[in-house]
Amino acid sequence: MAGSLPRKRARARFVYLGLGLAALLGLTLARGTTLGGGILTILAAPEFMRAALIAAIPLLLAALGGLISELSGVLNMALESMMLIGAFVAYTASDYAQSPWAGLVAAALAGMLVGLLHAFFTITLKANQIVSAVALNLFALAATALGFRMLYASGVFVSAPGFDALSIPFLGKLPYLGTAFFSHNILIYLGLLLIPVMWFILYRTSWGLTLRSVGEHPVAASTMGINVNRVRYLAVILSGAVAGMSGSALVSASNINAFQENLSAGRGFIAFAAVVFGRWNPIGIFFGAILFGLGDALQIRLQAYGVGVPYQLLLMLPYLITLIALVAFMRNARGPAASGIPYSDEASS
Amino acid sequence: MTLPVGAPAAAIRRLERFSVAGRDAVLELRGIVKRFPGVVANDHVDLKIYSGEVHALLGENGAGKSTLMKVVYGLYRRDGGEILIRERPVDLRTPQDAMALGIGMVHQHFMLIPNFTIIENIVLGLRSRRYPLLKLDEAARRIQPLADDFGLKAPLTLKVGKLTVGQQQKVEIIKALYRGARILILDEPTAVLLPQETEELFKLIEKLREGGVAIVFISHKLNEVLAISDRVTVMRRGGVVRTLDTFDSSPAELAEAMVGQAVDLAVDKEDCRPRGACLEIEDAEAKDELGVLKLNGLRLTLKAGEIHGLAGVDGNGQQTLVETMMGLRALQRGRILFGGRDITYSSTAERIRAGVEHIPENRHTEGLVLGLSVTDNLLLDVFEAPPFAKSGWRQFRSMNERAEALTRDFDIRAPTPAIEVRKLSGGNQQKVILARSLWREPNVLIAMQPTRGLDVGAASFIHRQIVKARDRGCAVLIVSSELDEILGLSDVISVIYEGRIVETRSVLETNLSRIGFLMAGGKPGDVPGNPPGPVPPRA
Repeated sequence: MAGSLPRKRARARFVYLGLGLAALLGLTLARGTTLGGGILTILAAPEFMRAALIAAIPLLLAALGGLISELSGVLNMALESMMLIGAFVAYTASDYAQSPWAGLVAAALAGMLVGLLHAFFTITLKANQIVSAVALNLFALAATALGFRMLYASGVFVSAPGFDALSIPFLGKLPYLGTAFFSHNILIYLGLLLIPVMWFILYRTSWGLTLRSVGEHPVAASTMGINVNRVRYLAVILSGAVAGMSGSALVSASNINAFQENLSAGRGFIAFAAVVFGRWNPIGIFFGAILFGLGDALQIRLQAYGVGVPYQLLLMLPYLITLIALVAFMRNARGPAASGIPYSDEASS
Repeated sequence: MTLPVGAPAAAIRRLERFSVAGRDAVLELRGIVKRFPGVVANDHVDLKIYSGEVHALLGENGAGKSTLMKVVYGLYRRDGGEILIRERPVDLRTPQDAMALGIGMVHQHFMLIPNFTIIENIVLGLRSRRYPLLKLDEAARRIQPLADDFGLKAPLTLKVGKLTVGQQQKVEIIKALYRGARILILDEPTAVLLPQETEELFKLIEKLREGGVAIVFISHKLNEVLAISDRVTVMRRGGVVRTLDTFDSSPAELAEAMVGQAVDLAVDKEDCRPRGACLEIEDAEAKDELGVLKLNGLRLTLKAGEIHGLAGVDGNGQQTLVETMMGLRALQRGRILFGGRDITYSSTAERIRAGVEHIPENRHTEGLVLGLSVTDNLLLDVFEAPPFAKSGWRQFRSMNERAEALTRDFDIRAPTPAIEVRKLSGGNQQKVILARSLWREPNVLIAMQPTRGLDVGAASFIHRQIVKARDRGCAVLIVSSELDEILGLSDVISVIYEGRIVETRSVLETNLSRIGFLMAGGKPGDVPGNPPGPVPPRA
């Protein structure tokens, strides 16, 4: 028994080493063929990394939002609805006000509203957290489609004003890195900045400790004078604000700054999975999001390059990569102990 | 035996009468009433606690002790009465109010977050000087002296889940004191402790008492109350029976006040007359559901007509052992013989048919189907066999007759056997399980925690039934974390540690401290101050 763990670790190291060697061998062989060589050139270009980051940020924001909620003990599978409603509201508001900032703020507010609903259903009414989320997701899909058709019946693509790219002085001029990382719009920087900010709040402030305690052991938290349901309400609403902003990021991720029906296309669910993949840690979540982003950027390039595979299959790629990663690495993932369990004051008797 | 043992050997009776003179009444309750739907949990309770006093609240489960203290701690809102702290009436609404008034409480089930470090658990809910920053290192500097003082030897950055139960309790006490508690409520603090840990706790209580802290010690264990308290308030059915000086009271007097009638505390039984081996487990190896090896070459022999007690700290393989005996979990190695026949690969149903019965540890999740009637639960293992079913049709008449007879014989207090078993009290629910496992006169009875959470009346009924089964020739295995129960009931006691039996001895040749030492991982050869040989099993 004592020796089994190190042995397992040693075996895992062999597997990774083998995989690495196989990948290296594959790349060397691929360079020889025209198709492989072409794809490798694409992957090596800074635009590839840039596109991956742009695709990753909406996911990152949604997942960070989900994290806040889940650490407080409320599963937030309603991320999809927050993202989709956020995207729709961001688009319409920035179109009407002719300012992308108005869109961002409106998206956050709309997300908070969805969060408030989810909180009311799951905390006050103690409804099943998954069922509440499914209902909200279905509602969001239908409501945004309806709203979009009513407001933009002409079917003409209207581009809303978007955030301009902001090249960071000096850093933006670096070869490769400048294009890949330092010439994005402001939302991308904000999203990345949110990672250390969230980490600090979660692990270095009383607020973070309170939040985590409520998700781990609500009864213990309440004996220490913490109002469990209040903390959970705030967490789910805040979660909605961040996830709502992910909708704004999603709109601006498409170069044309436009909305279309089901724009989120299940990304909210990927974000939900990214929370698990990131082991309930902002930094881990970033890697989950970037993995999806890389897959997304790859499939678009493969489509454009014409690899002779139906594009529907290529569209599956980022989801497939996420799924495989989730299954491969997440066997012993352990979340907040009280996650998914409604809290009631009299349960302590 | 006339008394349940359980007091540590070093505990001393109070040597002098407690004097109220010169002390302040730090906490006073006047006519506290607390109702829950359908029950009055506290019925006009009066209580007065002085500084530097260890005040025991003694009573059976459900007497209202914990409820009363949860009212004091602000977890429950009182429905009537007054609370006075240092002679000033106060309005306690939340635990925060209570903490601000210097009241701390250590709950029976610790309110610690296993995944948090010791410091995080202690500062949770408090504001640091630089709020909202946590500043854990600053807090650690202030907590460390307290930790040293109370002999908490673990580093403060260790996760609480990694501590022993005794250490966790210290963290709880430090948590309360760090918040400035001058009145400390300990709810059944010894229920989860090893005898050695209990001793340490008692020393700690002594220390706090000398420091002027008032301690409310909730317990249903007479000898502990006698050992540690200055005064005792006995509660029964939500009310106070009386408050007396520990110095003047006798165990029998307290017990009588507790249950309202003179009770015989002993488990009456004749000497056992064991016959041959009935169930043998040879070199068993088995893993639990997480794949952790829980039985590691365990050998155990149960004899017909003998009660075999299995003592051990929870998690040393008891659960897995019982599961493998019942065919609920496969053995990796070894075998199980029943009357000489190999039943290692027999199914659970085959074992039940052969007369191996089982009282599971958790009556709600394993023992009963809460949504079914008492009748259905009583016949859960035989409902599809004649006479309760004929060619697939259930025979309600014979089922009802049997259920009526069993509720009568086993004193199951239900308005009708058709009622959902969920609606019965814990004691009556346990009697349903007992009746189910005993009425067909099994050859082997495996009972896990058969009286956990029950009051003295129900527990002694269950004990008598188990002894009766033994006298009939049944082989009994009792797995219990209550050493009192094991010592009082068993003829032979085995100690289990890390999946092996460390020692098997007749109850006459062992005692509490020896068992405690072995439970904690000591070797039989190293037992301090206990030369092998007959030692009276009294503390």
